[in-house]
Amino acid sequence: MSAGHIFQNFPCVPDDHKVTAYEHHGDLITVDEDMGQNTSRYSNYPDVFITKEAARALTEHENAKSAFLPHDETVWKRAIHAWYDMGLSGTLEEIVNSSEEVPPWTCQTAKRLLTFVRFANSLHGSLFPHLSLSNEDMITKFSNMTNWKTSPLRAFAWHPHTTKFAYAVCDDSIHVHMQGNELTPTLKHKLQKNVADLAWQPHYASVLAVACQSCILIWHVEPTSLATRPSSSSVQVLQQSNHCPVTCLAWDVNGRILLSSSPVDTAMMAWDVAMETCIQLRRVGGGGVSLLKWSPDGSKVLAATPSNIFRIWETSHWSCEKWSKCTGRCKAACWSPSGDVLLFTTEHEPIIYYLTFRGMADESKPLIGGSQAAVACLDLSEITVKTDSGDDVRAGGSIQDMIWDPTGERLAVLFKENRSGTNRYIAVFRTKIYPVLDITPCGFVKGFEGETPQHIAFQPKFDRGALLTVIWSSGRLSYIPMNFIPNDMVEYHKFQEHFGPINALLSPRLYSGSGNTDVIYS
Amino acid sequence: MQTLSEWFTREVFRWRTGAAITWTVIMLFPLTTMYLLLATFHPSHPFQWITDFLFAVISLPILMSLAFLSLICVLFHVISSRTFTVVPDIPLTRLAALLQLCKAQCLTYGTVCAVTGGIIAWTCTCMLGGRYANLSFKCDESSDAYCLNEYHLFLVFYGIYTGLFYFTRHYLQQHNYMEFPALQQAKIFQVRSQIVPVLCSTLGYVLWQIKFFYILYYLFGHIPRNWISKNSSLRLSTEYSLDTVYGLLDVVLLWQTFCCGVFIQYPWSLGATLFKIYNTEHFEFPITSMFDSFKNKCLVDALSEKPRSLLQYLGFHDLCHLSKHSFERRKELFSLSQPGGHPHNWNKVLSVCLSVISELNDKVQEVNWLVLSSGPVRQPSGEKLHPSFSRDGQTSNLHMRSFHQLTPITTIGDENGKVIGQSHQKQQAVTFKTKLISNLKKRSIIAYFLGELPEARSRKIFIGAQIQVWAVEALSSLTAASYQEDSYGVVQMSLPKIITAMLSLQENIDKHLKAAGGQGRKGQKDQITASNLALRYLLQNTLKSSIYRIIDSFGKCIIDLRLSADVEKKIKSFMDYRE
Repeated sequence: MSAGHIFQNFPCVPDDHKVTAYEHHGDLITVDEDMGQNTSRYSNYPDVFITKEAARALTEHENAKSAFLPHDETVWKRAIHAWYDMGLSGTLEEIVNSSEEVPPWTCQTAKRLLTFVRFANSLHGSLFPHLSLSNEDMITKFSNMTNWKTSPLRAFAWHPHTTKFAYAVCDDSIHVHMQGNELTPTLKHKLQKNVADLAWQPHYASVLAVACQSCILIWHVEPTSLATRPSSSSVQVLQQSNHCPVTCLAWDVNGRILLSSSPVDTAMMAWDVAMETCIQLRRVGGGGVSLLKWSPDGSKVLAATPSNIFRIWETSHWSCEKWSKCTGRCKAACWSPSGDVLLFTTEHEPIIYYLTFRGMADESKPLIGGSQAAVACLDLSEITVKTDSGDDVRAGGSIQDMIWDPTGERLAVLFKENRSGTNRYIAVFRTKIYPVLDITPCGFVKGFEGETPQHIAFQPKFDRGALLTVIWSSGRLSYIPMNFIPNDMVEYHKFQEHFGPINALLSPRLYSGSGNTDVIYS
Repeated sequence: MQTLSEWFTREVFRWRTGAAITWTVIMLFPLTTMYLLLATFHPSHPFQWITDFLFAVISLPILMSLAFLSLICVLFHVISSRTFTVVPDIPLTRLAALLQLCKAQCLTYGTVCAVTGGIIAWTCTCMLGGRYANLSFKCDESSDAYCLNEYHLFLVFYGIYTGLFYFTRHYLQQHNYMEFPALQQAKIFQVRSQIVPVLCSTLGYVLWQIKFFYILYYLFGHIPRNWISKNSSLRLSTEYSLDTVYGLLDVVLLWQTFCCGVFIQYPWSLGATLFKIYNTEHFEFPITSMFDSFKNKCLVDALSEKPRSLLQYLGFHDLCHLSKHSFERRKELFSLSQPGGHPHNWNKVLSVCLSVISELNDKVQEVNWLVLSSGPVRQPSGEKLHPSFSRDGQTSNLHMRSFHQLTPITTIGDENGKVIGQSHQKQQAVTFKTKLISNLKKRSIIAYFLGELPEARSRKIFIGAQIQVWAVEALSSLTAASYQEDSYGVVQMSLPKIITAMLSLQENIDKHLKAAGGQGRKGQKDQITASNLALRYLLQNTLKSSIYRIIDSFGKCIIDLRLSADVEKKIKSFMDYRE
């Protein structure tokens, strides 16, 4: 590949028997595998290992099921099950398949209807191919989790303010872990199926929104309660017809409004959770909404569609601007902390684009102020790089997910599953937003031999830099602390040093400035 | 100088209402066309149907009726605009709900609805022509005698009936309640997203009420018919009579009635929706004004307007909006007066907000006390539960039981023998009375009307809670923003007051929901009750998240404030995210 490829400026890829443990003085430090177990432990954070067996053993959905079981359900009962599972076409199929059990005229009608439904679907589906996917395939396609369908983990969410997180496993139960509490509540509900996303309500101790196949569940998990299985009385069910499966959720920064989206519904729903009412925000075009990202300052929302369009909404009067002519569907995106830079990638290209936004000049007129065109800022296409011991390995490729840490100093990129196995590594970059966006390499994060990362997340509130959590395919959750002083803090202290005695509070804990400035305090 | 409310009515309310009515009238044209198309539907002759329809639409009589309908529509909506409110009345019993309809204003509006419904139905019969057109027709070709056209009469009666039903729904189902949307979209999108849901609900509703009209007409239809024929010397037709089973089985008539019902109700409902959308739109009040004539029309004046008025609601809505979205206006709010350097703007807003919060706080506290204290006092006479308790069902039973042990309050009278004697006599009288009432209440019909509606008291307290929600939200957003923006520190002076007020309201509401909460959110089958009650959950949520927001933005500095020990303890538990 070209000489200027960003990965050639990267530190070497960790060796096969090494595990990335933490960032120190601007370098990602690796340790040997036998020491690596420690990466699952960090100060007194919860120690989590998701065992596949425990999750698997529980109920599977009764699909592709009855083939091996002698079933004595009547055809009508099966039809009703099929209705719940797959809708109209499923019911018709079930009736046609068991033609000897139903009156001949029913079978005939069902056959004709089925033909018609399939024909209509094919028409619709040719416009928006994603509409003909089954629920599970659709979630797999639009989830930010690598391989949602087979992964031991289905969704993960950090609490925005405290050390607390929740994750959903493949039997659709949700586990909640808190720092300093051995008790891990398990949330189960009969409507909680195919969990695609989780989101904690900001400015609230313990309210968790769960995106399910047919609805959104709002769990009120009492933080002081000793129950390990909160009862279903602490759940609110938010349902809207034609708005399923729900694949994405986003709370506004004040925790007042919950946005939900489904790839099959062109409207996104703005829920007033306490009142249990919703307002539809609908714009024609795009065929649905596949990704929602609320900017950290709360002024804008990105809503990507399953086609080549995405929109940015402003949140004071809810008008939107549309970006079309992308090379593909917007697959992943992240906002800078102040909401004036957006990074995004499309589905098939390994390129990160960025968009900048001006502030509002006149507040009475809402303005999104996005730049005219997105600019490509990083090319992450696959190339060969050296490991520490000099071997050649491949790195890069299409992007599955990317996240920006809350200080806006580190960017982590998770790659899509591919044949050359480049998705074993997570690429981490240092970023600087002012005066111009500047992205420089930091290093690769690697897990144990044979492990691939499934999901990455930064803890929203971490006061020693950034804390990256990675969930690996083995079910291991590892914490990778990145110790640094955010740039604005460094600026602030430089200012203080210049104009007065430095505040002694921070200096003992300083390791390094942002890598770009290479200022090292002792 | 004009007062704020006069100015508002003239300059804002009228314009908004006018715009809403104009759009309603504009919508009336396509709706009438649709109505004609559907009402003249002929399944057997589709071509003739279309051509007839096209000719009819451009004919003079139809255009005339359209103009007439528009006029009626304008008049109707002008009168309706006075019936909308931001705080609906909550009747405690079903009887009170019925009595509520008998107020002068309601009765007038009911008459207007009935008359307008009748007139629109009459216009429909004119537009339809054929057998519906006139009140009378020649009994047979040869004779001069005229007969009463019962089809015509049937539709006009149905129009009146629909008008009356619309009226009851307007009040009893709180269709006159203007709810502010949680987020402010452009009006066009709000209207667009409402058109289909309103149509669906109208269709369902018309289908539901039409059957009662058929039953009524079958039972009592002959009374007005005979009366009219007697007074206008029109003969009754010998061929058919509509108050028979056979007469009512006319499918075409049913279709016409249905179309007519939808045609009356849908533009009305749509007009009401438009009215609400226009009048709940965000309105920006100035924070201070340089002009003398505007000195009394600032935000603070709107906030301290008459309670439960649209103006006050718009004021708080604006305050909430500015606290979240407008840096410039917040700056103005945090600014100091020139000369003098006093934070007048902030102080005024703060005092209004705190006063509405404490007003609700007192109310809730009073109810909580009532719930807690009335339990043990009633214990000795061994009678049944106080009626106000029956709504709590089992929960309150449990409370009662737990109060058995708490007898000290009841023994206060023992120190003074006389008091006991008097109170005994009194109590006997009271017992007799309550026994009588409770006996009456057992009879099912009386109980139906006199029995307290579920959670009615709680609804009554919290029905206006939207104001408090906005006040709390605005205060917390302003406080959070002040951390960065308030250069003079005017907000920090009042921080302890704000936190104390919020915490005490939060505590009282928590208590209220626990003590008198009844079945909670899920037990409510009635949608209106549920949505009214949701306001208290909204307030509870808002309070919690507001306290969290203040604590998040100030962090550990909060502890340095001079707070009372109780408050500090509470704050600590919030800081650990354990609330």
